[in-house]
Amino acid sequence: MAKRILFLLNRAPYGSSYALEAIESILVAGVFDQEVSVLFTGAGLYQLLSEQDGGAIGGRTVGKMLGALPEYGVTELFACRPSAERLGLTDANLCLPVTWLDYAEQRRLIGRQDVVTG
Amino acid sequence: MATLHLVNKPAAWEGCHPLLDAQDAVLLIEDGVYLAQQALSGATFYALEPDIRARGLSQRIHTNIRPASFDDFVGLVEGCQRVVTWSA
Repeated sequence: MAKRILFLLNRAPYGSSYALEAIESILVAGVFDQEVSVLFTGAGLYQLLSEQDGGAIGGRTVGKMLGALPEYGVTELFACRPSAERLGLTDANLCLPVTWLDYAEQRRLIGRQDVVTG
Repeated sequence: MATLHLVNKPAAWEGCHPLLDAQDAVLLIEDGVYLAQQALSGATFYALEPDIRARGLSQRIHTNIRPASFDDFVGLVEGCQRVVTWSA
């Protein structure tokens, strides 16, 4: 029976391995047909910037890896609107379409999950 | 209690507090117990007692934050529907 798993990503890419590790976990969950959703919040929004080039520091490009999520059945991508306003980000800056949520909607999203992880 | 929020660093509180539901519980652990010195609101608050003692904060914990033992920690996890670990 599929579980409802929410990946709550609030860390910037590249400064640590958290972003890459979370993406790998998301892909695995997608392959195993779990009901996966992803919520980008706080510095996690920077994972979605469209101008990324991980090659510049000899690494993979996080934004490009995120682009593969739909192919793994992961299409429920949410982002925190208050965080975006704080960071001065809009749809135009992002490499992926997301559904913007305010705090009340994020609370409801969390309330529907079986598992919430980073 | 619906969701148990674990906060292990003061900076993690920024991500946690906007998403608190009144029926949720928050357990401050590790460096998160430094937050227990202030009046927090929005849910039921606990702070892990061994972490408080380790850091010499026993006399500085705000009244509306309840000390929790490791056993209480287990009880809180068992009593909730899901656990969210807030990181910073």
